[in-house]
Amino acid sequence: MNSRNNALALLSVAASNILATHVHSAQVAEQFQFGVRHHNYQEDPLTEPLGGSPERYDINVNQFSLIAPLSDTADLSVSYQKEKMSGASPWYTLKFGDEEPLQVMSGASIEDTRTDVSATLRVIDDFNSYGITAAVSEEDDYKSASFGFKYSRETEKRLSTWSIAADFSNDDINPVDADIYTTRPMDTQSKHSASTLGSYSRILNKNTLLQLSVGLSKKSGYLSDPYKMVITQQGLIGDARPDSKISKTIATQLRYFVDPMDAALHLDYRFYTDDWSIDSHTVDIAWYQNLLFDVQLIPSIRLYSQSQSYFYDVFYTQERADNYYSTDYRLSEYGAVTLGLKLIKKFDSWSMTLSADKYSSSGDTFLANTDVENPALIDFTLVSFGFDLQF
Amino acid sequence: MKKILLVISIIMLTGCVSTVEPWEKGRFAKAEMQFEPDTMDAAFKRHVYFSKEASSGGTSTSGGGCGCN
Amino acid sequence: MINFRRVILLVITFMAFNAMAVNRGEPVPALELAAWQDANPAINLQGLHGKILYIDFWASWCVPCKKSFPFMNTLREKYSAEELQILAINMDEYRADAEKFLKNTPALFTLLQGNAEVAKAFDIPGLPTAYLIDINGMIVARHTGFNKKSAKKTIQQIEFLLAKD
Repeated sequence: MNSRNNALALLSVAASNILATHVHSAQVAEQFQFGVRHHNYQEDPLTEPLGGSPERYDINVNQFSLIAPLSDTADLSVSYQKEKMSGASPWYTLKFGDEEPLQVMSGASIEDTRTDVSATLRVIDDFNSYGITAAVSEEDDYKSASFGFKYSRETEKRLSTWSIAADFSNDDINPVDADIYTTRPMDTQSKHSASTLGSYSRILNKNTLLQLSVGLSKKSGYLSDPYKMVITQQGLIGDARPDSKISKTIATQLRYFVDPMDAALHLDYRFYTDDWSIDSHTVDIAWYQNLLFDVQLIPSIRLYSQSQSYFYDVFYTQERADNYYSTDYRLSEYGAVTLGLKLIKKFDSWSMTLSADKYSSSGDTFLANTDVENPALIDFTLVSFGFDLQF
Repeated sequence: MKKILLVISIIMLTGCVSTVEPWEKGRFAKAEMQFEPDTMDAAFKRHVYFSKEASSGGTSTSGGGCGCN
Repeated sequence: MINFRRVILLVITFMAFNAMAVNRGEPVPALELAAWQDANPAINLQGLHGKILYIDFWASWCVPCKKSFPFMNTLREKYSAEELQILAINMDEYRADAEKFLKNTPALFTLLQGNAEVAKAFDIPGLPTAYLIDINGMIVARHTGFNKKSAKKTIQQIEFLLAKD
């Protein structure tokens, strides 16, 4: 590593936190802000499933958010989300000789409702900002509770902000129909997660803002997917993954205002790596174009690719000494492109937003280059519509 | 890929750093110059990609999980 | 790497300006500012001796300015022109942005066109920043940001200065 890279690395490592980031210069909310969104998410049906339903997930989500000023130095934000999902999910793969592997889907469509509530209390005192967050979510077979805190500090001239955040969560999964499908664990399984994120953001010049973030996360407990199965020499067994996963991320975000165009360029990059040997690259580019009549048009593109986990295979022809098996497409090598377009129309004290995103993945998109892509890779369309009010 | 982006970031840092006075920060107050102009949208997309891909995190801590398949 | 010579030059220049920046107990800088409407005469900050002076630095993008303007309108209505002079110095880079702000948030007080020189002379830490100057042209208070507490304190300070005479 040359000295420049070292300097940057040191900067990143020393950086404190910044949370999920809002305004560069942290300011307490001065008005009530209410937001509502409806999202419709639809996965394309599987082209050649072997058995089961080809229909994949169809999810409808209603999302609500309220930010309330509590005083000159504190605000509270509350979010509520309700999802209704239906659809089949991939069960296990089959491969005959040298032919392409086939995906067997679950039979009847699963129907599930998920509710998610979270609250964040923020106190801002001149150059320091403190926040605590609590969140719970529940669905038929899954419960999650998490707690997090964040601290950020601006430098004297308010040109830079350092911040650090930490989060702890506990998930309990109690798979449905475990008595019918014997590969599913009968008892409730738990998963614990702890993560931390340090960030440094800096105003570079009148038009440019840059942020660097470094994250570390550890998950432990039951990390397998109870609804997925694998065919091995021993027969049909449940998805079996290690009971620990440590992951690291490095991310950079650039915001650049283009004066002559009255538009802003967003350029984000994230590198992810974990000890299941998955590495991924994510690039997000968006162009925020201001138009007449308080309309903003935002085209965007997201490029993603990941490598496969060391214990993944699309179909196992040999036993594994470590007994880890998973044919989940999410552990395979693949790349994906998301094309998005969003429209925002601002009025006096409210605004309307409408957006559509199309995600397509394959074994040789972006940096991925695999001979045998997983047959269950998804393509989805996401349409969102919503309002924001200030009062 | 990582090296290219790192070099680009460094070039931008060295070439473009200049003092910005408090009254010159108008652009950073614009919604389109925030790291997350639409926090609801960003949170939802994080949830979708967390469920459908192997990677998570980067610009926020993880929060709770879900049984999303 | 970063051009260190340029950085040092910037630091020295900045420190020089800092040395010139005014603090409480010091006289208001002798600077002339153009009126909002070019046709109107320019105003010299030091030429306003004899009345209490309230100088506010603002810009269209400053969120608390939406509340500080109605407050300054209240001050304008509460105190006569002989008692209190209010000057709001605009720091917008583009006048069009300021005009748009003024359409939604009108001002009953005097508006002036600001520049980097006057902002540096006062060494304003952010927007809005307001200064209260007594009848002898001395800066007696500085308020950064705007909220109900600072508004109350400003009125208390103005009352105190008026009572002193």
